[in-house]
Amino acid sequence: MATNFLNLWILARVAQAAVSTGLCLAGAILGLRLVRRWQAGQSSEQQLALERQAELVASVMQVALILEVLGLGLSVLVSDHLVGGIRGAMCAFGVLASTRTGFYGLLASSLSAAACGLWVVLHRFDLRLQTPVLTRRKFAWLLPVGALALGDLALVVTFAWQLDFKVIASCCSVWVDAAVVHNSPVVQLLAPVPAGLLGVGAAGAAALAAAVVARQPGSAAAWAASGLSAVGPVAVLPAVLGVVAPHVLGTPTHLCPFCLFHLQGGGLGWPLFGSLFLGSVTGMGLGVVELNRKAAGDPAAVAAFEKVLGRWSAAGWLGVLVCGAFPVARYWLQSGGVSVFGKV
Amino acid sequence: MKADRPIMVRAIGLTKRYPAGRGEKTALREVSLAIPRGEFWIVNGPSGSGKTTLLGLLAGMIAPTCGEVQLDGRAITHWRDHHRALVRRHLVGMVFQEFALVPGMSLEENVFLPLVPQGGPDRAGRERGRALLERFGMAAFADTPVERLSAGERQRGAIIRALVTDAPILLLDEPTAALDTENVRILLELLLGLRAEGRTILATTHDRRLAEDPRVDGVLSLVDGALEP
Amino acid sequence: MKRQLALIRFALGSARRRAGRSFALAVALGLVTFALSAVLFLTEALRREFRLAAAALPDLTVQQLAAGRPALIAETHRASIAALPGVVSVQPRVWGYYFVPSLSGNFTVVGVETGSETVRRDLSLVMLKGRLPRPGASGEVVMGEALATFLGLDLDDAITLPVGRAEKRLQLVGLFRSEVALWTADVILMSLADAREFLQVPPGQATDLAVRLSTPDEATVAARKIAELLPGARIVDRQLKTRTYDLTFDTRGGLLGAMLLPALVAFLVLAWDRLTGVGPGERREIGVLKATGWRTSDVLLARLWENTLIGLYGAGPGILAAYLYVFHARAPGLAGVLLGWSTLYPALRLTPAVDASQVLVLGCLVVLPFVAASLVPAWRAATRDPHGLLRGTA
Repeated sequence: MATNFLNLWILARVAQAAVSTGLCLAGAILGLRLVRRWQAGQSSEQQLALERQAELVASVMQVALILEVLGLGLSVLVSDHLVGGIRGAMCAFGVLASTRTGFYGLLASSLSAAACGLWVVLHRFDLRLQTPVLTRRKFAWLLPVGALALGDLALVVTFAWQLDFKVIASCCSVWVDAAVVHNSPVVQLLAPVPAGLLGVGAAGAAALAAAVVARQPGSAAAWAASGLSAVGPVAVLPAVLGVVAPHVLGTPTHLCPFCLFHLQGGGLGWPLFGSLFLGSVTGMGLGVVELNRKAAGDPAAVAAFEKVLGRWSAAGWLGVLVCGAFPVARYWLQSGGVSVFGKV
Repeated sequence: MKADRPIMVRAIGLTKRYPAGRGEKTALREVSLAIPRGEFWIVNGPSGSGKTTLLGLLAGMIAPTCGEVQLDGRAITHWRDHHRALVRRHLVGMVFQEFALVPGMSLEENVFLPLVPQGGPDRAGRERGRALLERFGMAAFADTPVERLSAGERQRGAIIRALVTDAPILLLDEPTAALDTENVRILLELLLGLRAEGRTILATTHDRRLAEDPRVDGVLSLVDGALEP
Repeated sequence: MKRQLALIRFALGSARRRAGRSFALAVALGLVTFALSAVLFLTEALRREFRLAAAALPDLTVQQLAAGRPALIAETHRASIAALPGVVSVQPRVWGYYFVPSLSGNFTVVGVETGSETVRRDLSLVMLKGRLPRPGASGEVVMGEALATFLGLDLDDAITLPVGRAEKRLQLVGLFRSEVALWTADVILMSLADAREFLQVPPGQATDLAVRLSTPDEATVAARKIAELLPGARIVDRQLKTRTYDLTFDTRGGLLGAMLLPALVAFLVLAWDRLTGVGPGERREIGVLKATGWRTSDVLLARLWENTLIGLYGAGPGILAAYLYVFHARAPGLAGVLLGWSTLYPALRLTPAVDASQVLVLGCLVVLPFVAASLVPAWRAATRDPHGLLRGTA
């Protein structure tokens, strides 16, 4: 409903999405104009001017990245704020679930932020090269990034429009209960032991692979780290829901990831998902570098940059492991060794 | 010219043309020069002869229409804009006509300006800057806004800024333009001292006090964009 | 990180060097931020106050309807409702509105069991001066400060008010604390017997029945069962009230905010105009930076930081001023808009309810658009050729 946009919180989220989408689109349009006139290898005054404008595009995209990441946080905060207006909603989950596009919007925001992050990785790599051989393809990649940002904005606006404060929403436990009743495989995946093992394994493997690249960059190691970082978020999610959330919230059936952002949960969601984003985007960035290795034609620059990315990715995945292990360890200590799940 | 010294500044067939009205104006024609390390050279010529354009090309600020520039053996002509800036950060220190100090900032802030994008002066940079201020007799003016300094003081401040990155090459554009005879003498002594440290210096001027000094290593004459034989 | 800090220090210096422009932009931004912040803080504080108060409300309130309007409900229904599973207690309540012609408005009469220790203990927490009506005493009342002031009463003063064809003398024995003025500004508290007499509610009848449940989340289920027992009754659940107030404050705050948006747009236009004009001094400064080894991205970042700092310099005081305006000065002018029409406005003493997420929302509404609007002017400055800038030809 149009009146939803009168809510200052919703307006802030829409404003943020509009600004970041505007920047992405402006970057894409400017970039395409530059590509048409680009003459790599030339050193004319015109080419130098184009290169300066190209730096503008890159700066705009870096600001857009910051805004996209901000948008992810704002999505959670705004949805949480709207809980009071939707019956049955206990946290952001209920608010997002009350519309058809809530979760799709969150997914789109995540993908858009990741796309911006990967583009910035490509840009930083391009800057390390003596000649701007990657600039054309870098600007060409702005098209899908801009499209994703536009999709994100569309879903944010649609979500805001679809919000109906007369509906009755559900808490995540209703979904979980339904999954249990129907014997859904999702429930088996959320069981503590398999979820925990999968999560630790995925995050640990990603961290290890990134650390190997940071120490000894190479094509095989970089591809491995990139692949592990790409699947890592999906693999880690069951552990976040099935193990971390119950230990943070103190209830074996409370599997809500959004409640992790609340103060009652120590706000663990922020460093946990922040580390996850950092680790996975910089890890996937290794794949971006490998994809452009041949075109770059500078093995020394490739190796140097992969070391940097490997360090950041390893730090991110280590952060995920620490944020995941901390509440489990704390609960065990405080409970004197009693499991939150009772008999495991 | 000492034959066994490596060439720090080399220009090969540098030409620069600008659009002018319906046609073009040629600011430089086929200029070639080679300045060995640790030498002090002058490019002498009247106003409009292309001296500032030559320095701009050598510092990588502008691109030639054709020709090549090599600094410390590295051809920078085809470098991208991003890396050309690094030339001015690490290879070349420039002193501009009218000094180009930023008004409203103190002398010390102006001196450390080139180091800001690197995270500001580190310990070595700070010590180097302070030592230069002392050496050039400007330590007492470190906190003075530059607009309150005399022409000679500003000139020395500009030279200190050009040296703070410890760049091996120093390019000066009309360094004596606003100076009286005494300050020209002081400037010359400073430049000769820098040469003695092994820096390569190229100054453009139409000031005969500088061009006719017997202690410079070489003088090139630039007239209408071309070097006279 | 070191690079960013160095650029921020430089940006601070730049903002100081262009003090006039920076100040103008910061002041304009501060005013816009102040207005939006005041609306947001007041809205959030009122929501919080209501949520706190709502915790004490009954889970369900059962009212009898007659011809679609609330009517008195028989106390005999208490037993049948109490017998429902999940119902912990059912209390009949006697309260209502009393119209005073001189006020041209209503105030709220609430009857309480003055003999109940629990009630006396709970009420003593919200008393300010005086005492509660004595058990069994008649004509003793407690009032909100605003109402007492309006009627010109002080403690122990008396007033006579018409009740039907007769009159009733009421003596003011206590005043509610100002912290709860939001809820008690127009309330007169008296004994149940006095309230029945005042509101002409006969024995065996009540204004409504307050129902407490063992599991408040099952309010919908309980409400359905009560509706089956009492067709024609209106059952209001607490969550509905809470949501209604939430949405009401959100909508009112949003309307106010929307009215401020043109001011924000005007500010952004001003910012664009001021920032686009890069004077010769500034152009030369950029030329010097680029000629001394600054890259285009360095210059652009420095400009962005400068504008962000101006944004923060403006927004910070604006937010602080709004905080003081709402929580210390009690939001004169604005409070009435958000609280709605009333003859008696309470002295608004709200507990500050400002958190980081509200500051973030304000940042997204004001600072973000300002920094984005400054990007193009910053770009124009950063992408010029250094040689031309120094010579004055670019």
